[in-house]
Amino acid sequence: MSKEENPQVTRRTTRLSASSVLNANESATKIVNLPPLTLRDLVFGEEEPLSFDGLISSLPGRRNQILEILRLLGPVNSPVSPLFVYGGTSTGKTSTILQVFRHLNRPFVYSSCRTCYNSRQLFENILNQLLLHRKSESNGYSSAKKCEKQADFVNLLKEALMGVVDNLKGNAGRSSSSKKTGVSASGSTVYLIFDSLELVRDWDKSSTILPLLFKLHDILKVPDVGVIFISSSSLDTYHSDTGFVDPIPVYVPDYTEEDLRQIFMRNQSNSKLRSSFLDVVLKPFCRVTRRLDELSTALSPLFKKYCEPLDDLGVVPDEDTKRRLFSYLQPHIAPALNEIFRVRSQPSVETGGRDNLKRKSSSKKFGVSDSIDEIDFHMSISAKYLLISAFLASRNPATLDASLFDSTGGSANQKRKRKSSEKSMDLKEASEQEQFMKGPGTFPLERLLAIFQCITSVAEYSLEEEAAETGLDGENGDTGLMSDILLQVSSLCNSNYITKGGSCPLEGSTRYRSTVSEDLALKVARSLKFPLSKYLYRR
Amino acid sequence: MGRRTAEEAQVLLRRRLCDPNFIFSVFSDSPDSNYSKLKFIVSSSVTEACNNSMLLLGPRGCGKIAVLDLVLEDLLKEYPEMISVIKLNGLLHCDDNCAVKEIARQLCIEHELMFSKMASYDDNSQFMIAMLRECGLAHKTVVFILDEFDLFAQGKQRLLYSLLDAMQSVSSQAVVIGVSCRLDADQLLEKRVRSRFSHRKLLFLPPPKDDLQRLLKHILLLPTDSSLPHDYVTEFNSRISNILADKRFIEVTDKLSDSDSTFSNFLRFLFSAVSYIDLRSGFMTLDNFKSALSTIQRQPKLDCLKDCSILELYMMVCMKRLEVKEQGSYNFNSVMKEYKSIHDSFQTSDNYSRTVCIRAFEHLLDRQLIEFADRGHNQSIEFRSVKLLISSSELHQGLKSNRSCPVSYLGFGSSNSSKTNGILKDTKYVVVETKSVQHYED
Repeated sequence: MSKEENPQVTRRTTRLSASSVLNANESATKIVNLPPLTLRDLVFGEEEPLSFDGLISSLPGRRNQILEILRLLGPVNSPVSPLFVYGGTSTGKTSTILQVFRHLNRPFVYSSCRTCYNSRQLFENILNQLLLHRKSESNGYSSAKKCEKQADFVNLLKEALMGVVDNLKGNAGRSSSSKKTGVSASGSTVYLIFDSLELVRDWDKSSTILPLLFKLHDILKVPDVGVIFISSSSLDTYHSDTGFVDPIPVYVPDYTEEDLRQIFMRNQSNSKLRSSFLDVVLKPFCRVTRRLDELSTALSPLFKKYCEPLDDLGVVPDEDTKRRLFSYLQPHIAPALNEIFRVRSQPSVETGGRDNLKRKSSSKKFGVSDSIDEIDFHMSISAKYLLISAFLASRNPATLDASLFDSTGGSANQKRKRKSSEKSMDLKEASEQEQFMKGPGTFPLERLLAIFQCITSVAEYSLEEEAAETGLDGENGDTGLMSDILLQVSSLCNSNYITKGGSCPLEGSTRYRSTVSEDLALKVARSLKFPLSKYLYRR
Repeated sequence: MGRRTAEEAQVLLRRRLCDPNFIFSVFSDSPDSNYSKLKFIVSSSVTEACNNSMLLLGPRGCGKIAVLDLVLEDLLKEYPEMISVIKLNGLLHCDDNCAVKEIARQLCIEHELMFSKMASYDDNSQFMIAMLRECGLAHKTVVFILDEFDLFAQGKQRLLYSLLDAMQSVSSQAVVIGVSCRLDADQLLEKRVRSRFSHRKLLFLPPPKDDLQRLLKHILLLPTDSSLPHDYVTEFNSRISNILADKRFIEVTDKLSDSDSTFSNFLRFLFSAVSYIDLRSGFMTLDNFKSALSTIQRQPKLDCLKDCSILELYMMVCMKRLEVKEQGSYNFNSVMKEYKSIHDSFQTSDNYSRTVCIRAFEHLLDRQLIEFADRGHNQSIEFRSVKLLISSSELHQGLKSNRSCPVSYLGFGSSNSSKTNGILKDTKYVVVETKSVQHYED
């Protein structure tokens, strides 16, 4: 283009960079200039503050915990010991804390150890918030300060905190005279909130980071700072060599059945209908789990089913209607209980599984496979054969391969039927027990490919007869390029059908293990019309 | 008026509890306390211009750093220009580069010099040695505080050696104070470091009971010369004195100190109690202290068990039965087998499919009630062997306290009568099962 003719250019301009200059003008207009952050952004930031009653009613079942947190945080500008809030998952810990801070209107810095997946991210996130730095295109999406070491973090944090506290104190002096009610922060104490602390245990340097976080309050020696930890496991699961200073624990229990009922009754247009539904359904489902997220995904399709016989969804059900609806719903409850943790993906129900979960398969044989209504994912033929070979390789001991798969690809010879004596029955039980406990065995890649070759040569043999009838032409000669097969193996590994099982100490090659259950392997084999049971080794 | 004074009093008490200087100044008067000994050692090395090194040892939360800070504060007032303090922490600075950089940075701040972040390890250590020499010539003592001393003693101990070596020269005047919660911290030192270290150790122990009483009075009694109204203060103090003399209160504090008698535990307890002050009346009662005790002393595993759903309890009971049958290691498959066998023999209504049970199993893993017994991640979750992390009495207690647990499960858990193969007689088995949809009575 025009730039390339420029003789002054010393570096070679590629066509891409030359053309991107032309686009720069267009993209410049699309930059959204976000306003710079102010101290007001340290507060929760909603327009109208939350009253105490609003707080209690927005978090049903958490009244005791809210009161406890409020009394531990204390009045404005009072110093606070570090707090440790813990409880099961999806019990509302994070939302409780954040709503309490919304109610109190105090400035806080929230960072989650889930989004900040290592220590550097965590430190830089906190510093960015304290230094009121927003990552944008103008500064190249970089943080305010590069901070990797813990020593740097403590020094920078101390400076940033002193800066923020001074500003807050200055603002507090000034704003008492002005009339802004808005969201200016109350008090000059800054609270650091660390969420999902249990994930820090799995980080690299967790043996120094965890004690540092717990001791942060003491190390900083800044009086106007409070530290709050949120974790889903209790303090005694945090192991440390020389221990750490314990924070004050606050326990958030799981929701009871009454609380769950209250939560599910919120924001319902027809509360009587909903409550009759919950009468039927809540108790059996609570026997399995009381976690709110799992219950809500399990109950919503059931509610739709419950309302199906009703013509008018606004009707208040009387005893008769309730009975009718109950008898309609009852046969669906038991299977729903057994699938309670399964999140159904919508398209697979409707279209029959054609277009979800496409595998990385390039060598599909024989066109699109015919109806696989027993398996609800889609796999190419060679991937299925690979799956079966992996299952056989894990299940059978290696010494039997020669007899099971002879060179012509014939099936196993008939086993000699012996009358099983009592000792062999005991041995059989013991070996079954061992199979139970040990799990599938490992195999090297060469064995997998060898079995694959044997099986597919058998399959082609039988399919060639069919192909002759249907007139399908044949690349039946070879089973595709080896690189395609290896691609299939790696995609099976990625989907966890085959896992890496550690390397053989003598040869150093990686060994694999099949994680497919026998039911699934039988289903896959049935869809291929492959006689799997003949190849299975049973002692 | 009532609420404001109550709030003010509460803020005053909280501020006292979060201020270590205030708390440990109680013990600074007696001559054989650690405070006096420490002060004597440091001040003598300052006045006599000699080098010194010592260790402060004691369990966590016994006030080592607090007393040290108190001593240094007093000494800085007494000898204003003669001491400069460098603080290092083993959690932050155990790497030698980091430590030397931090020393250089603090020296620069103290003496108002420019600190360059680009300085290398050699530059920083030469700077440190030069500064030590200069300070020695100017009769200024440099006090190095090494917190978490045992972490400095890991690895090659280069920093310790260079510090202690620098102290050997005639012209330097330095005091090295190591603080550690490991009582054998001096055994961790290498030979060459240990030979340069004077084996002075101060032991900090958890306080005896009458010291705690003194501390309580010191903290909880409001001062008469504060901005609070006088009659409120006298009423408050008299109530506190009554509570402190009460036998039940002494039981509460005994219970607290029986499990953990360090200062930090006690201060947490007091903080929690102070936060329970009823802001309408503004006075503390014995109930405040009792509720604080129950908040501080929690039993997390029992709380967890109370929260478990019935299926999860069921699985734990199956595992307990497998343990009773003396099956050394078991995995999810064996637990499922036991689950099915219980269902076959006792016809419970809780028969769920395998996928549901695997998910409940994963919930138990998340709650840390069970754990994998092996280390590798090679096998899938069904084959890895697991172990229960709660004892049978805890399990029994948890089953009893769980509100929705059917009575029959108690019979499962406590079946340790006969050990014949596969047959377990349940003597306490009572069928009180409610069918899941039976509420609907016609």
